[in-house]
Amino acid sequence: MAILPTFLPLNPDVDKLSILNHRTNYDDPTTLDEQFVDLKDTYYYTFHLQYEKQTLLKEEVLNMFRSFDEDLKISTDVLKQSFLILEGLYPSILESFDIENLTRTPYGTVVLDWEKDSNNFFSLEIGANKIGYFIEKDGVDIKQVDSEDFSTYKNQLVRDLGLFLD
Amino acid sequence: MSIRLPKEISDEEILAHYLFDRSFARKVIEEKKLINKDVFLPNKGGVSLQRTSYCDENMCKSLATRILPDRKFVGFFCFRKLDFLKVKSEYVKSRPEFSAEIKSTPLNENFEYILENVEEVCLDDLGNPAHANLIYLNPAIVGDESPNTAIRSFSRKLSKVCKILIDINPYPDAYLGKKILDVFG
Repeated sequence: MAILPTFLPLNPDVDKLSILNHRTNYDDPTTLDEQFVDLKDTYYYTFHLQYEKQTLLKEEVLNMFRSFDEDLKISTDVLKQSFLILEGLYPSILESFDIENLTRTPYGTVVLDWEKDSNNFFSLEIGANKIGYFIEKDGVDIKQVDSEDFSTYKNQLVRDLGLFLD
Repeated sequence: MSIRLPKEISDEEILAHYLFDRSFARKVIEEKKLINKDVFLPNKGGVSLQRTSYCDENMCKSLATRILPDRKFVGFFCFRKLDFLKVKSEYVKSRPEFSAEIKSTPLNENFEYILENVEEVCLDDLGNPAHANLIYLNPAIVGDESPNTAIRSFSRKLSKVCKILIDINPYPDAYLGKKILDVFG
């Protein structure tokens, strides 16, 4: 369809890929657009940052799944759900996550905690089919989500995490 | 003459929860590595506690190593019942339906619960007469691999008023760490 390429740059992801794949000729200063190169570098590093942290966290979850230690082991369903969530979170959210705060509960769920200090805390719990989380501000819970499907609650979770980390 | 244990736990009583290595991130036994929000999470039923007025540190450790020989005992997490009540009354302001209680739940020589309406329990009874349970009534813990948001959040808040006592003796013979009464004054 002839109309499609006209609208493609309106999509930020398509635009991003187009810039990332664009070949920059550094030898020819006449074609060097600084803004374009900056944008390309930013996209490049953000992409790798996201990929590296996400891979690291996925490896940790996979280690739990493979573990022979009953205190650490998680099920296939929890593993799948954890991967889905890690892939669904923005790079800035993953970047601010301390890998030490990835833990498992005694009943087999996975927990990710973002801790600003002892009284400001975001705790996300990933179960086999549902997620839950609470946000503590100045030692008091300002929000508790008991049990929701990640697919339907993803946007709200990302929004809440974004607000907390802001 | 044997001392009879009151069924009612007084507000001033200090309760101890066993700490095993699994309560620490990557099983590194350091206070800052304690996964404090998950300490008071029951695997099923209630969270086991010891009434320290009727069970000293050595007796508590001996019971822990006998009941759960496959776990590595590393110390205690202690609080007064009064602190539990204060945390609970604060917590219900943000979660009004929340309900939890601490009950005396003595165990017989086979470490099974002694029925509430049975005979009185004495200090030198076999088993674990000083056992108590923290029970989450509403919401109760839900089945395996499901989130328990309210309980985890409460557990975190309760852990903030607790004092940690680490046992530096890796062998099961005696407890070597701070004394509970010294810590609570």
